Amino acid sequence: MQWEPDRGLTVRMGVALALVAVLPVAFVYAFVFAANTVGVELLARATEDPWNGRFYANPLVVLGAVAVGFAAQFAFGDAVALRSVDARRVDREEYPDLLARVDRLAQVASAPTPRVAVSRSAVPNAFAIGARPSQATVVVTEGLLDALDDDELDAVLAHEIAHVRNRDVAVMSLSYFLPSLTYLVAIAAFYVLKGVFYVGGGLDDVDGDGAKGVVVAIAVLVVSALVTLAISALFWLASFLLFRVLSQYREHAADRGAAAITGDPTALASALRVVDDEMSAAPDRDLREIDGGLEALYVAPVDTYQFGDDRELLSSDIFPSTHPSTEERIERLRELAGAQA
Amino acid sequence: MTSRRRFLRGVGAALGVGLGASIAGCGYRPGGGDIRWRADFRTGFYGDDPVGVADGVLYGVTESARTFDFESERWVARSSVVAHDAADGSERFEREFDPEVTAHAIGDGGLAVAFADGALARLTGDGVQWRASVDGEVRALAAAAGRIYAATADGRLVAVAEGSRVWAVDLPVTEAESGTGTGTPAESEAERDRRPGPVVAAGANHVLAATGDGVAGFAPDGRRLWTRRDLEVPETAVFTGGRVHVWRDLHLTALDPATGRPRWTLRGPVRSVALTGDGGFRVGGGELVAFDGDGERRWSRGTDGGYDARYGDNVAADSEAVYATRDGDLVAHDPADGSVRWAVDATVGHGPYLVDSGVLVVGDGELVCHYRSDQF
Repeated sequence: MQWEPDRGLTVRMGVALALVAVLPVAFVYAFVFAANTVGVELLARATEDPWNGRFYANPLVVLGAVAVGFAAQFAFGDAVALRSVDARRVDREEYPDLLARVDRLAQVASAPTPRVAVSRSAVPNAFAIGARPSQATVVVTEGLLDALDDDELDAVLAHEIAHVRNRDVAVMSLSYFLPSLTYLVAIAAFYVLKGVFYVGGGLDDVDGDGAKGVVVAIAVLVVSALVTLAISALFWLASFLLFRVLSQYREHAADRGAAAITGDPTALASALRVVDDEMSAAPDRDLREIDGGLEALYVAPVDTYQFGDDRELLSSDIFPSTHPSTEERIERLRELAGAQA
Repeated sequence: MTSRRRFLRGVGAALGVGLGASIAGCGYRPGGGDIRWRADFRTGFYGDDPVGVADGVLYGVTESARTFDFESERWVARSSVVAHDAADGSERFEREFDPEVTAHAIGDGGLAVAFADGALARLTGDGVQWRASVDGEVRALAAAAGRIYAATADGRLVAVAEGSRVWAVDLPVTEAESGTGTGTPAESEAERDRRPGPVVAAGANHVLAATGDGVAGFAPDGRRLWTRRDLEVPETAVFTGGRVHVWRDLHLTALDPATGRPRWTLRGPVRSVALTGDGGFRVGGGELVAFDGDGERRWSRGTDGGYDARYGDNVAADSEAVYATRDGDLVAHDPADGSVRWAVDATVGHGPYLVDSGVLVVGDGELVCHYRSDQF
């Protein structure tokens, strides 16, 4: 078949890649700025010495560090993703039918045949990972294999192969770098705060000059941690917004790609309906318990876990979900089927 | 363990490596006023009072400290000199001397010290270089061009080099020697005692000596070049840029060292003066004044504020900034317009002194070196 590149997706991936590269650097320099404004004042109060200088970060070193981070993401991202959903790569002896389907669909899409991994999860879902199309892996859950009929399974596999063909999997992998970085920094700041209050609770016996020093130290640590948390939260939001907007568009593109590969948009619509219905009925120990990050990669959104019981507090208007609504996708697929007829 | 945590652990390890590599390219560049180093430096009753910096060494002198000698069962007068490296504050040496110190002077790359027994010593950062005797109590010293000039209590100016007397001439200036004399021959002993003590200053080509009777200029070979009784005996005199600047209480005067003729006088209280290039800065009466090579005021600070805007009694300057103390602050001003470059809290008992590593102040038992300017 003739694969028609999606210019809209290509442009969005280009913009996303640019932002993905720029945001971590901006994140570092935001801390440098904070250090040169709030930080030096705090240090002056804590040490009672002048701090009239400037903190600096060599741009080449910052770029190098970010590059190392991206390289780590590329190198370890697949293995981490597979472990996170309790998946393992399978061969033809274990899942002959599944691998045959993937072979066939990849040939139709003129894509390199991806490897296949199966997750033990009972929740029906699937996703694709891989830094390059030639190294891609399509991951399906046991719940998905049980829930779908042959045509629906083909449609879902075609959807994942479309992601591989569109090369958006690599962009999504890289997009996780900044949220991960900000998460790490925020967690570190949180533990500093926690430690401050833990230590602060045991200082009843401190008095005089010692007490003054402790109060100054605690104030400095608390303000530093709060500033760190604020900056991290800001960049986490920025990166996640970007990440999620791209994710929605790429799902539509992969839906269209799946329809082109199978020639049957209604099969994917049916599969999405089944997955969506099964999701809410899945057992407690399922994908929703697994602390996320990979949600955007799934064929269908995982409804409720991302923010726990407080998810309703987040407006979808300003914090778009990773996927378009299943209803919207099904509607578009039906329109596509109508057009094909 | 959740997926995010596992993932982040892997990323964290990689970032740790990256962070280690990053440290070389990241850090803090000090600004003007930041502390470069600290070192212990006791002053006052338990230590030596700083007297100045020469050739990268800060010298401190205790002129007189009476101690009880248990062997001889009598009180004895001692003195001491301490030297600290101005690069890092480390102590170069500390020497005790039996007689009291009667005069000392910084200059010519070292410290000159005169003792109550008429002995004289030249010290550098390595210790005592040579000793000499001038036969009489020395009241004032100056050092320049390899020589030490000593004004004695009995009215002589003695030049010493490498431990040997080079020449000696009589002081004070007599009325007969004065060009514009208004002397008072019938002056009583009490009046003589109230006169200011002798002052000596030396440059490469001239020597200035002043007693209660007037001021005189000499060539390095001891020839008297001029004598003036119309000049008030200064408190301090400094040679710089082909001129000698003298000051006392309420005026600063620049003299031609070859003739003793005043070139200009800047009126106003003077406690100390820092000379740079064609002009300089003076502090006194809480005021910091910048003046040019003709003695004209360029700008002043500390005249229109309250007590906290008044300047201390010491000032130092280089081509980049003028450094002074103000209400518990060490302040660096732009020499061009007097704007504040930086100001930091500082306990300043002595100083500021300019050294290669920064600007030194001594106070509260510490020698503290501040960066003179931004390092970024």
